[in-house]
Amino acid sequence: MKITRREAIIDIVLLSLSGIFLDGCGKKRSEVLLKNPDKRVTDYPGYVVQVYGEDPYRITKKAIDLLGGMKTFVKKGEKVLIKPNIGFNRPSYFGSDTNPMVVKAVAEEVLKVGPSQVIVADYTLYNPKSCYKRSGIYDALKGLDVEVKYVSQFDFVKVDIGGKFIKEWEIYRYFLDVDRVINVPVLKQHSLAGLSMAMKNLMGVIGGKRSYFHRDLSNALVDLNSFLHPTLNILDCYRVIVKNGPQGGGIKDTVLKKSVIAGVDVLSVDFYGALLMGYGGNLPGYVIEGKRRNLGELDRELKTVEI
Amino acid sequence: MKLRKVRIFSQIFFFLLFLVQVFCGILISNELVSANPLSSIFFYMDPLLLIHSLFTGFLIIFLISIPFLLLSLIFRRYFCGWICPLGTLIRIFSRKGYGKFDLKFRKFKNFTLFAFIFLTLSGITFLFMDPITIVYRFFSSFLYPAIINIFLKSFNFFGISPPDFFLRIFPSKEVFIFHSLSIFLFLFFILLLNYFEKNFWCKYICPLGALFSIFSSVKCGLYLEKDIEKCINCGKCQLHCSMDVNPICGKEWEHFDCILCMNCVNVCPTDAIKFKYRWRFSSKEYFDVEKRKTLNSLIGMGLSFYLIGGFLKYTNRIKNRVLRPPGALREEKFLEKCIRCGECVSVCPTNFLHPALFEASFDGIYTPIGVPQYGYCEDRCVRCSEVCPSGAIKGITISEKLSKPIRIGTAYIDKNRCIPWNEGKSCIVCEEVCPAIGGDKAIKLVVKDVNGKKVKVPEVSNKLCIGCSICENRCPQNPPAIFVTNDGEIRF
Repeated sequence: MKITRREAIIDIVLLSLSGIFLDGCGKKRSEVLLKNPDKRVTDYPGYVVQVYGEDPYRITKKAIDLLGGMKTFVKKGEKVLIKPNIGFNRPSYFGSDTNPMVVKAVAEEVLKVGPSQVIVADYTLYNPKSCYKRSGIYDALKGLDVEVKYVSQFDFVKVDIGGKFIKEWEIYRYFLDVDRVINVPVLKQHSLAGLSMAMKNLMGVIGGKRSYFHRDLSNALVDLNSFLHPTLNILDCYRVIVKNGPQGGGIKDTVLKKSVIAGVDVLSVDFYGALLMGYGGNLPGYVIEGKRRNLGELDRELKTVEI
Repeated sequence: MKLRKVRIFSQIFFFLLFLVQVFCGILISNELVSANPLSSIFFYMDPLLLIHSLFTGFLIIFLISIPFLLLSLIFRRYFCGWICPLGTLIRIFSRKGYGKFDLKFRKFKNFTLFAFIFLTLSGITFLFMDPITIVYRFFSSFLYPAIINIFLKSFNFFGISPPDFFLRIFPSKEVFIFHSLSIFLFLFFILLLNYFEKNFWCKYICPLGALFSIFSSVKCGLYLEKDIEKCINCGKCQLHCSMDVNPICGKEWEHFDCILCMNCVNVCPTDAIKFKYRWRFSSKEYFDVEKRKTLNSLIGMGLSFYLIGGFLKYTNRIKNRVLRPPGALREEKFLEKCIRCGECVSVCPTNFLHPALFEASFDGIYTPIGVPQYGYCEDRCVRCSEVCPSGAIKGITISEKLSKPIRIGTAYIDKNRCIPWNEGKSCIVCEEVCPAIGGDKAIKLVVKDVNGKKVKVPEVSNKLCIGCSICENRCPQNPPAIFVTNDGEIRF
């Protein structure tokens, strides 16, 4: 079995190529930051709206209208990421995920502007397929021209955050890639944070060992939120978990608050969410920390509307 | 068309059908189709599993294999040559050559068959030798995870995110199967045996082949007719024969081991040999010993294996500390009924179930166990019990699982390793993920003084815990500071 020189060279080249490939597979790719993590528009409305009403779909649309419509935040031809909370495989009456009608209203409003691409995604806490299906969001968005994306463990890019507690972390690729991000969290009780709201919802766009955040949740969340800024925060407070959060033990653990809070300043959205839940004297640690570290303004003007 | 080509087409067809079966399990695991019998169709075709089910609790669906078995009265061991996916794999990797051992050694496979039967009678299931389950386990527990991981890693290598259709069909996370290496090595070893002699497994070891050869030793049906006038004694047929059953003129054809591969008919330059249908024909005896001797040896073997099985069962079986899938039968019954196919492993969406090696006592090899290190038992999912072909996992519904609830174990906190209990730092991961099945969370946070600081520490309520293992799976400590044992499990 003698091989010619040419064959030997070809073999060596192929083997080293596959070696490089195998070596590269083992590594986590780090890339340069694609776009500005601050997704806010320059002249955003400086007030927060809160809309009460029976229908989660209609109050969401009303809230967006009151902020000047989606055209204030999204321009035509832009890429938009809608980031609801789909962390758990619970039906919508459990209140653990964002109400599918709220997500649908937001997606429709975004689509009206005419963006080039709309992505709906969340890095779920449970098995992603059952979370997307059982929360009702997958079905609610059927027929709309949006991409419901499953997030794989390789969809994250290591980015320098430079915070006080979190120095660098893996961020969801599409959060950095798109032009605008609409954050659609749900208000619920959380054993460590007190309440899980807009700031906590951004934990759904980070990868890695998320449990590390719980060592110092307040500082970690403020670090994360002073790096990533969504264009708009629409806090779903329709059905709210008050006990056994963040997934709840059933319909008995929830209370109907029937409202939606929307605004650009994440700190004031969370502040009014906490007030709605009666946590005024007992603000969540990350809200206090955010105020102390000038993340935003705590009490921007609130416009309350009932329909 | 030449019959050899028909045989190859049949092999390709059934191998594709087998791949469909494997793929069906993957689709079930990702909720694209609901549980259906297609995902275990080859297990129903396997008469060895019918025998197993006769001894351990009969299931009517296994009767599908009876026509497959009866056909071998006419068509010899056609199943091995035309259908069996492991046979197809072995045939791909086999090489030409003459057999080294004679018929005496080929009868060794009867030994595996009867060992299996008598051990089953004594309550020890020896089914990890069944060819269909071997190849199913290989495809679903070794090859599929390997391919998925290679794909996900190469997407990572090229810096693109996995395409949408990929994540829709396949898991978005890497899949790891505990002991998948042993599953691979088992099949690799079987294929390696081809190096010593072609189709070694089919000739000498396979218990399913033994069953078919016993049925096809009846002297009726297809018969290889040799025309001595035409034969030029080139010996090609003997060289190409898969099973060395003497198709050559001058030697007696061993009809009971013929797999009808049609190689001999195909290569014969003078068309001296042909398969013909005969109502009766005379040929070599399979059991050429006296009837009395056969009977004696059967009874002796049966008794000894029965005793060995009983001995192993009552003295060597450790008390299992493994987690079993929800709805599993009582441990004794479960070990008996489980056919070790690994279908529950392949449909588990969270990668919780894994085939055991020796964790679940020596005869629990390849039975499903829950490994919290890799996954957890999802609360609204009963796919393993829906697909189980043998009934070792009782068919339960989601509402049954949630309302009863069906416990698979209980979690305990190792307070020496738990971050809040020991270090006094805050960590609530186990409480956060606890699924609150009984209406309330099983893990509750209580404020305690640790090293002079007030911290929230987790505590498990034994009444509410169902052992879903997500707490152990997500615990940031390594090894986990909260662990799940099978205490308080509900078995049927």
